[in-house]
Amino acid sequence: MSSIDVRGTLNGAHIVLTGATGFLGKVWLSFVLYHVPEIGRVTLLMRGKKGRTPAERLVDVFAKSHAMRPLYERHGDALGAWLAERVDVVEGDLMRPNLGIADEDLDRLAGDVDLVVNCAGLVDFDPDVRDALGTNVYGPQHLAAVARRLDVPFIHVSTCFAAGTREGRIPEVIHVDRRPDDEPWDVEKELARVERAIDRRLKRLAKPEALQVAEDSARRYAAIKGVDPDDPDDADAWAEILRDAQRREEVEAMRADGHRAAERCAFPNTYTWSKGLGEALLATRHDDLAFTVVRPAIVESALSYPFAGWNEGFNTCGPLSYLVGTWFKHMPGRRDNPFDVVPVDLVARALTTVAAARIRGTAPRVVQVGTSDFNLLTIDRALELTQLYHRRRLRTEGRTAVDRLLRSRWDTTGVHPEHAFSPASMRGVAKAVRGALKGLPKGTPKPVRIAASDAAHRIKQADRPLKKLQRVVELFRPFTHDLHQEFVGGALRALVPTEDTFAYAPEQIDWRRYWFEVQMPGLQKWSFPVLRGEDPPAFEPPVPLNWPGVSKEAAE
Amino acid sequence: MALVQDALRRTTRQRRGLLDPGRTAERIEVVVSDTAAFFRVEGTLVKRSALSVAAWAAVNAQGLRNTLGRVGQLALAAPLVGLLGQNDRTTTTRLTHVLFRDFSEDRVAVLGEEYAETVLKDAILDSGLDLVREARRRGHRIVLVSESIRPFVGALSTYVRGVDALVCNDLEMRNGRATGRLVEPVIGGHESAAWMRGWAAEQGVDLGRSVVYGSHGPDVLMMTAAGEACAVNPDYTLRRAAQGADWPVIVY
Repeated sequence: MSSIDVRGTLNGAHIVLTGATGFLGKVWLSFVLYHVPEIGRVTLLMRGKKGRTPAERLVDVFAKSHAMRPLYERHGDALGAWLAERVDVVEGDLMRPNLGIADEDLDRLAGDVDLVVNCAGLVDFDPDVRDALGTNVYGPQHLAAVARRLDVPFIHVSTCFAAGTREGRIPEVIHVDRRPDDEPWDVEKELARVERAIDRRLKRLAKPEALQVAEDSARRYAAIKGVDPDDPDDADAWAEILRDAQRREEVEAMRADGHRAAERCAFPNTYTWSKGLGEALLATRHDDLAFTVVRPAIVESALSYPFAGWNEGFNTCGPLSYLVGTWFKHMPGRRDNPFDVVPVDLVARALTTVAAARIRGTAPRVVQVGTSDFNLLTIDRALELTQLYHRRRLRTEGRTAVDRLLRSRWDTTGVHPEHAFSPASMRGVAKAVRGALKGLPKGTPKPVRIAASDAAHRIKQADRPLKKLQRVVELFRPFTHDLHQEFVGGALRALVPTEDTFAYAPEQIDWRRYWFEVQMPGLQKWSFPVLRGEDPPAFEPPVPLNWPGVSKEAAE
Repeated sequence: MALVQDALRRTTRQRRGLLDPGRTAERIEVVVSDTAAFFRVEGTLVKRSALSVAAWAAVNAQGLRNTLGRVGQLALAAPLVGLLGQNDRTTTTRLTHVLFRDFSEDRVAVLGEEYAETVLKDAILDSGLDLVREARRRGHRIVLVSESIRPFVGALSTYVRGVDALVCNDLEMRNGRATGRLVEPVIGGHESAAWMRGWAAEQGVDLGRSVVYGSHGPDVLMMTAAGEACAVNPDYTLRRAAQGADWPVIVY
């Protein structure tokens, strides 16, 4: 075990970073700029997206994110000028070889860069398999190739859940030739197989019968919207509806293909499968490269940086915690299963230390950043803490007497997924009741038939939210019920920073306090509005970000 | 009565010393009173018993099945507690807190806080507070003795002004869950007297000049160990003992 002078090592260093628009990426960028102001340069690799140029997105990162609050507090008006000396942007696309960067631009970077860090990742559990491959599989390979060309070390941020369905204590190793179920795995063949399956799927989707399915779906939607496909006046609207329907069919098919591939390889979902595949390919293709895979567990609200409770968007705990506050009271959960939550700023600390160690050449191949090995939080405890938080909140802030007296006291409990009150069971019962209501004998009096038909219709309407609920619960089921995974965290313990600012000490987390004072208020403020389809509070920079050159370009 | 007047004079002298502007901060010595007034919480200060605390917690257990099971246990335990309570408070206190078995530490903490805010605060007896004020005026250190558990009655030291010490029971926890047992010594039964003697020796409190306000039969041992005793809202056993020992009886 050796001490690492993190600030000293990163003094003057030039880091190329991807994924700076994500939750962890933004917090880490802000954390490094705040705690290592001597850093030489951070080059953000970005592509244009949704009509925004990379320069505009760069400004967005600093002008629209709460993660940057401490930087404004420290530098005030001078922040733009200060950033201009330390941060720049290069247009690049992870999905393309060499990231789509011109050779001469890469040559210019060579000799100047010290480290490449990939924070980009698609965290949707059930995405289009092409998107998952692009971001989580091809992206790291392309970045590793660039790091090799620049002759610099590389850090790839993956996830602890790349372990797939492997259970027990998960070691800090990359399994290049074994699937989580310990069957042999040739990752190159696996990738080729999935690529072939995608090609086949696209060909099938282009066949007339598949197009007809999409068209039928489009016609049903057009009828609801009042668009007549045969009316020349509605031609544009119809074309758009048809295009959307075809796109939807394609994405659904690709989601299903991703899910099938994950299941075949013993992964619980497409996200973990693509992360596992990305890691294994990295180790297969770039074994001689100086790289480290950093695997955070479930990244959640910040303990203190940028401020206590900061969280962003749709994450793992958000939907589950939100559901616990509703009338849904039977969450799949197995008692004593670890629920490995780690505050985002602890991950930022760990990543900074690993970055310094990687530059010094002392970082190990895999570093898991979790809490289960040091300070275990179980799923049943997390569920109960969430319920107790809602109890306290509803008891005092509930809008109705039912909220204050009943909903606050009605506990959510961890149950077997096939519990009688699971969404799947409830849907089954609803379907049976609906069938019975619709199949009343002929001699049934008319008023009864009308009432039964009305009730059947209402049951049908209730099926949609139940179906959504079932999907959410099933997506999270592997992590809350099926898998017992405890992530070994020894590698990080061997990297001891000389400064307390970067110390990783998950054993100091008091989970009750964290849940009540940090995590749940953070989710309440930043994540639940997103789940309700609302906007969380926007960041208002205390001073305008006058970034010479970039702000003007973005404004134009 | 002379003892009380002594204590009062001493406390007054201390206060004068502290307020003397001629003294520097370094020279001020805070002299803690060497007499105490011990209040059995249940009966003298609060109208709720430990059983009612446990009953409140039982109906707030996690999940409906859990709640119903505990309410059933409570129904079986209540008559026993009623029968034994006046003589063997240790057993009944243990029996009462079995209801907390398998409660998580988190739930106990949150329910305790909620109980304090919604029930305990309103259950404090005004006449009990008058007794505390009177004891404080007499220069005693105020010691509250409760057979309930800390998360549920701990807030009393905030709600009652001038409390110097609050002694109560603690649930034994293993892996974050209550085992249903109490940490020894169990406060509330006959062991309370042994605890009181140990505490007084440790704190330099002269029990001979201290006073105990009891309300249950098993408080007799504490009351006989102190120089002064007073039965407040006593149960049958304590009332009989108070008559025999010629202790004052207060009922409110």
